[in-house]
Amino acid sequence: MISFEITRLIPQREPILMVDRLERVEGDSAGTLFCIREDNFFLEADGRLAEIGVIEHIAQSASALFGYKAALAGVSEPEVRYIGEVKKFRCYRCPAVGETLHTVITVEMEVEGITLVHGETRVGSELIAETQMKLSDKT
Amino acid sequence: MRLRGTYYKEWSAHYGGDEASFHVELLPGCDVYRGHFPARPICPGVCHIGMLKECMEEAVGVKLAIDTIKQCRMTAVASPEFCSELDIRMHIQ
Repeated sequence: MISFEITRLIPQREPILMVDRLERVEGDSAGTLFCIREDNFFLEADGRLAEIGVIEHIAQSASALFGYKAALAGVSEPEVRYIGEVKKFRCYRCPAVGETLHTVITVEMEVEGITLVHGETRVGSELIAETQMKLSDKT
Repeated sequence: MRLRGTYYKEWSAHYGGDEASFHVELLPGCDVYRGHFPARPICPGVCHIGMLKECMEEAVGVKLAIDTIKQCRMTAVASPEFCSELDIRMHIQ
């Protein structure tokens, strides 16, 4: 059970806060949760979350893992991470208002401040999107 | 969610055939900057992907869905504070 509030782990705020909770961390893997609400910034007219909203959710999920490790190490403010690259992104369907996203982030590699992660997003047991992503703390 | 008019404004567009180009202005008053980040407006990279999608929809004349992104590199941080205008060029396959 992760006791940190999400706002302690990542610097994003409304209207672009796309993770509700970091649920678990096990080594280089983490799970996050996010409920799609009616006021979401990335909602399309048909009530579905745009693909770019799913990508942002995955990026912030990875940031939550990094922020958690930093918080444990004594870093007091959540750090900004930049998406350096999105690779092999697949969106199998756009999730809808009322659905809850569960994302698993796995760190695959870290080299000179650039972290390569794999993210898989599910609604229930259904895989709705996945991607590789590189994030960096440098501009 | 419609980024045109809130996140960016289109100044010019040229398309027809396989090539398209657009000149756009980033709008500093977009609500997204309230949270990205407080007191430090930074363009969310995903909003640039969304902007590309909307421009491509204009060029091809139909609504599009992003099924796959093979590779998208963000090569520089942008902000409407120091980078107010962008040129977009695309090749439609």
